[in-house]
Amino acid sequence: MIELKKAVKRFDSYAALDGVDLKIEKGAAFGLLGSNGAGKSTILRLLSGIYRPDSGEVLIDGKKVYDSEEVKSRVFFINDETVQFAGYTLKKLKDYYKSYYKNFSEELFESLRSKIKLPLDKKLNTFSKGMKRQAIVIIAIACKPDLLLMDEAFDGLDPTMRIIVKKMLVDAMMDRQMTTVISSHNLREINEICDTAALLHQGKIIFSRDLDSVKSNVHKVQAVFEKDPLGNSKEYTAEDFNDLELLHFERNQSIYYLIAKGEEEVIKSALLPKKPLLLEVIPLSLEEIFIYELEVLGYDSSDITEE
Amino acid sequence: MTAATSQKNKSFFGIRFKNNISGISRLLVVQIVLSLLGLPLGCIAALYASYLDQIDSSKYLTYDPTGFIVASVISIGITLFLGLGIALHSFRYQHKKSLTDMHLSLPLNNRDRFFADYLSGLAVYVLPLIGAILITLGILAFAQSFIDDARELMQGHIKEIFLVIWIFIIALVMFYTLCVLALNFAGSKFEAVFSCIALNIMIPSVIACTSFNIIKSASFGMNTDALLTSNLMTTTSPIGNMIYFAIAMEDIDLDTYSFPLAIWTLLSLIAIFVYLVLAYILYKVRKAEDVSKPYVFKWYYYLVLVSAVYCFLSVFFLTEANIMPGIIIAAILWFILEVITRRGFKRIWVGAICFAGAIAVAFGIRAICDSSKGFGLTKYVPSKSMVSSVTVSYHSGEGYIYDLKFKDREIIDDVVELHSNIIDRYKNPDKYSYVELGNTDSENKKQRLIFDSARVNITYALRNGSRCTREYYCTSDISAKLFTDILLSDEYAEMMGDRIYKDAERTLRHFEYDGMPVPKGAQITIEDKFGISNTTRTLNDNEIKRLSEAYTADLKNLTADDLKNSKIWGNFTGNYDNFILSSFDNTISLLLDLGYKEPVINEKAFGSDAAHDIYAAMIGLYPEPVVYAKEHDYYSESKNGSSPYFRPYYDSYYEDTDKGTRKETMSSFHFCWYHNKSYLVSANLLEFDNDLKELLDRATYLVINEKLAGVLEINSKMYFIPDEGDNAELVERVYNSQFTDAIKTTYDYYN
Repeated sequence: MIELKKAVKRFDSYAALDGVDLKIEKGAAFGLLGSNGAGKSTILRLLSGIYRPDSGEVLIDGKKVYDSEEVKSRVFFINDETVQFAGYTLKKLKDYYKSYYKNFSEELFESLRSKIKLPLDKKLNTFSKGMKRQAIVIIAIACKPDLLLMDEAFDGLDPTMRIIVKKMLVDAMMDRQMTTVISSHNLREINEICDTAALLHQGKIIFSRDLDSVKSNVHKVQAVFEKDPLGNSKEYTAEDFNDLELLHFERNQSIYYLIAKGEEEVIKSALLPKKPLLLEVIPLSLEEIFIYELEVLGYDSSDITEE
Repeated sequence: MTAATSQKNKSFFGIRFKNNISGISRLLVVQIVLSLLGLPLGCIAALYASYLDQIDSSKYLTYDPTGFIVASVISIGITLFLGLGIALHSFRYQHKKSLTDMHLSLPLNNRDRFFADYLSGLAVYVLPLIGAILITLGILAFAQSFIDDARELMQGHIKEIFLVIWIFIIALVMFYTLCVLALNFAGSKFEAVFSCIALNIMIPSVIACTSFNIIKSASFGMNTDALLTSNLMTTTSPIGNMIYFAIAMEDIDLDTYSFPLAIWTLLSLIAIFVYLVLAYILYKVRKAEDVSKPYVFKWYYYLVLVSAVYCFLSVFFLTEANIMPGIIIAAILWFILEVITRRGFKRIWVGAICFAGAIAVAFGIRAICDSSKGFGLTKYVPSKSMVSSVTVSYHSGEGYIYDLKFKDREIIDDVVELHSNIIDRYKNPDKYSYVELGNTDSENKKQRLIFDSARVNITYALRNGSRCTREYYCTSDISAKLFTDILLSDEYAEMMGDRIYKDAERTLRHFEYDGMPVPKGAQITIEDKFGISNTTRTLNDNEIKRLSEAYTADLKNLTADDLKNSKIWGNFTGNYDNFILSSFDNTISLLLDLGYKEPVINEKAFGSDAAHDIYAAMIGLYPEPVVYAKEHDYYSESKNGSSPYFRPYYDSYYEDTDKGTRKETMSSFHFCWYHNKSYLVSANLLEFDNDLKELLDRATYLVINEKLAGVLEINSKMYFIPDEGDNAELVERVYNSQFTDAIKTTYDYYN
């Protein structure tokens, strides 16, 4: 079990994490979503023991991560850069990590390497960005950590390699109950791999729950309501839907587009008193949920464009 | 469970250590190659040249090793400075963000990571050099069987070689540790390099400038040596270590060396330990996210700037130049740096406030030095019980005592009392009475004062491990007891006897002199007190030992009466420290047995080339009584262009005493006094008559607290005629017969 309790991390006066509470169950594939600067990478660096929280606690199985050799030996962190150890060959890099991670499996490493056909004796600075990413991923999996942290996990990988790497990760999670925390802007990939996700914005957690419930809890409603006795369309505003938790409200002539939180049936029943002529509930993608959730918090792409 | 965890920690430390060495393997190779080029190759080149010289190969082979030696020196220089590069590489993840993540996420705690990186870098830095040193020693050991210079080095200077090696190793570790400390202050590579260089320069510079400021504020008894060679200076930085190295090279004899290697080593190791602990604390406190910031700890940047401003302005303080140009130049440089560091003018007013603070610090330290009279250092006298040993130099003319270390409680008490006496005269000048002599407009009175003063250097080794060094010019009467007690002490006897043996021991290894073969053994020369005639014999080791023992025994048997009444029979090899008195029966009898002849002063000797000239200062009316300075005027002396750190007694006042005129050893002067006036007199002897012969016979360089009838200067050395018996009349007769014409000529010239 991974826990962040009231974790605060400041960079000078800027609060990258502002009292974050988060729990990640063992064996979960956890996605970290959020706007740029939301604090996703900061959480990963706190979990890998790179950063020390300014206040609050960061615990793995009840033990503090920072400066703990024992806890860190169960964690592997892949950051979003690929320039480190450029002078190393893959073999040397593998040996380097192998010396620190006692569970390192040569067989697993070889089996993974053979799948992606990375050369052992070529220096990493001759590798492409994607190859470097593959290299560090197979080393990480071969280290057999209990917790794998990946920042912008699939950055630089081509579509085929994304599938291969995803499969490697899923296999590792299935085989060893490895917990994986992935931060990515690519919500489709998070959607494909992760079972749980947290949305962060400005150093705070907006929500943290399993993706199915996220998806089942936000709905897009398309509705047309009955006209008044004079034959005019009724002009509802967002305030007229106070009994719904609206993320988005839009009207185009007589058609209303609502993004609302809650069970589908609850939403439908809340709209019935307004006598809808047409009421259609459309499922939302994770990306849409991400956009609408942040829109509520003022992170609106249209605003940015207007600026 | 605990044991298991401990084992695990240890293994992670080892893994990190090994991995870091592997990570800096390129630098290791460079260090090994340069070390081998620097020491063994340079040594081989020099030895080869020496060997060719030894076999006189110039007829058929010319070889100039200069190129190799220059390459060797350059290689050694680079290897020394590689310490910075190795430290930078060992802690590279502190200055590169992509590496920070990878290194800090590895399963290591801060302690293991820091010490593994520190020690692995240190090993890469120092071990190749130590290896090269060992190889060089091996080469020298091998070469000593057929190359004389190698034999000379290995047999005659092995102690010195190990001393040099030891000092250098300490300096290397200090340099590397300071670099590691400095790296923690910076978050980017450029600032890290700057930080390392700044810290290594800043520490000795601030100490030196503060020392100079203290001396400027309170010069009495303080000199640059007292502070610049202090433990604080020599044990806190690599530059300080090199100052110690320079001091050690001046007097390498570790047995009598006044600046004990053990204490220096201990203090240097403590300094290294403190730097290491500080580095570790900063390493722990420093946050991972600080990487790529120019300065992780902004205060360090300002500390460097404030120190630079302080040192810069100190130059103006010390030279008493107009301070305004200094402040303006410092301000311009400061703001240029601020703009560079701030990448513009953002919050530049903070820089302005800090600059004002830096100026305030510089003036504040100066003011504190002034108001506290150099932190009261000038008046400090250690308590007798605190002193474990004292090293004394007594510079008066040629000097009898040079850096001799005494543990004898009586001598320690004498030194402390002399010191207290001098301080009391300084603090309470009105307690003492004075008369003014001579024409106050004349420079002569100063010359006269120098005549009766000797420079005394005192270095106390205190029980707490610290040292206290002072230097005074004091008149002879107050130092007479110390001087006498030293000459009569057993420690002095042993040191002087030992010196004869050691000096001779060195010449044992001189097999050749100016291309001429010299018999194997040691040459010991005995000369007369004027150094004009001498006898040289080659003695074997056993004979030298016997001579040394006889001399030690005679010095131990020496009494105060012997010291006063005995004539100088001769001295060893032109060294006044090793005088032979007529009471030294054991030494004289052994010397005669060994074939030496009693040194004789005669006309023939004075007619030789050695006695090319006689400067004679015949004192008919030597100013009486001899006096003490009331106080010194340090600043006026400095303004006159004299050395600002010497001659505290430099005044026109003298103390009236009823003890009578007294002089002590060999003060140097080039004037004679006649009717209260002094003139330079250069005279060729007219006639070597009986009176002159008698006068020369009675002349001595060893006079303690005695009234003088005259002073002779022969070949630039001073000899005194005690005012006893008919010496005064003898002086007058010789003066009238030999020097009157010369005096008159000089008098006429000056008037």
